[in-house]
Amino acid sequence: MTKPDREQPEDLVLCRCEGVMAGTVEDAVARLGCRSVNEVKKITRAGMGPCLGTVCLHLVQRALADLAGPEAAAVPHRVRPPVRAVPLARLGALAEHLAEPAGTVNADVVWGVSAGARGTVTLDATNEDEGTPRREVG
Amino acid sequence: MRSADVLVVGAGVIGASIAYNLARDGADVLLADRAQPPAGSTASGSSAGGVRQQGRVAPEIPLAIESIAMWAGLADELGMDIHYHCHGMTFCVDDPRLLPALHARVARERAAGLEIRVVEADALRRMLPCVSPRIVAGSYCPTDGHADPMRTTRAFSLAAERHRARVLWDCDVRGFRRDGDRITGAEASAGPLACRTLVLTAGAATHRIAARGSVALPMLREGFLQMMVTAPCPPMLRQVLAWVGHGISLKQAPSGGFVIGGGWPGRGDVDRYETHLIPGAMAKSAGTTVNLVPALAGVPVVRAWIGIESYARDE
Repeated sequence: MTKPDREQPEDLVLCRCEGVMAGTVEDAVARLGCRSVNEVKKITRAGMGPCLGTVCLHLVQRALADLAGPEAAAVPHRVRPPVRAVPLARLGALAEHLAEPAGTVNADVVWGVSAGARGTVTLDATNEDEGTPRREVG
Repeated sequence: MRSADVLVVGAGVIGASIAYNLARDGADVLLADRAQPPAGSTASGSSAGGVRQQGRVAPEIPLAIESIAMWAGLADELGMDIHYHCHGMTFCVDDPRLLPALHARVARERAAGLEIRVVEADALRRMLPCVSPRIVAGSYCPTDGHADPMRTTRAFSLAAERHRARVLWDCDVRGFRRDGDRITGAEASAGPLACRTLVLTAGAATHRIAARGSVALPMLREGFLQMMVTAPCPPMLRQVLAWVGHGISLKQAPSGGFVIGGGWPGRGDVDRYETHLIPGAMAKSAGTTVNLVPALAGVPVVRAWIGIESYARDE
């Protein structure tokens, strides 16, 4: 397959947030077999930065169209929340306004709390110890 | 009909590494996945990427220790930068009542051959200056670390192909072919596949595929686990952190962003491979992160997602 003429040289920065070069994206498509903008994103990190892909992902789509065909370029970007960046402390402060998540935390990080047993953390809306899941060792 | 000595169903990190190791040793291997690389990995493609020996059930610890020796040379062996960083991990404790359990676990894991120790007070502060003063102690294992799960998974399937394993993407395995009690292959969207040995490494779909082949596996349940990542920050944390009882793991990726995991729940539907974030869980996870590393208060979250895991009865 001959390489199509390209406007941007391989050493051009395609994703400025993550510092991903155009050549890296081309390699992900041509050599690593990525067939959608979502797969290129997972392998190269293009589009994973603070701009959430709004600046660079159309350039990734263009590389896909050139190197993998229109079908690959047409796969829609799977947008991950949040739709705009939110500081951790502000997001954390929303906890009291949002419904408690039901179910348990399958926290691998609480393994080994006691006697090698796997601990399970139950989220409890009535927990007075604010922001702390109730601990159960099970 | 396509046939192979070994058919591996599921090209996540486990299936792809089994396919690679068997193919490298000369086996005739067919690796099938319902999706495309590298997204052909529902759990491996959404993992928080920890490479951890501590905090495991006892029978896993010798295996985990042995795996670290393999991880050290894996990037060279597979011919791809998998962003493996081996700078240690600390399980933090803020509640003095948990100290006896922490010491007991560390003693057990040392007895199993793991390099691990309890770090307390000033020594902990010097080792991890970014951690909140509320943390009183931690279990530090210097050979724990993290890697890029997507790159690692893809590196294994590419290396398998270099050793002449055949890979079928977009190939949904619907059930088994049987001859009496023997499994002789699989029925798949790509047509029937024949094999002498079938390896089923399909994550949350494992027991569903097995059930369609009339094999009952003792899977307990699925877990929908939420993760988040922040905007890039200056280098601040080389280790992986966890906070016992608070459902959080925290690491700084090479790109500078903090990856927040630890098991806060999402929702989803395994049969449809659908996942949904729970805003309340995102908020709790964010608040816990700031409680552990106060300097991250103003750092923005740029992305959140869910991974699907399944657990066997013996965990």
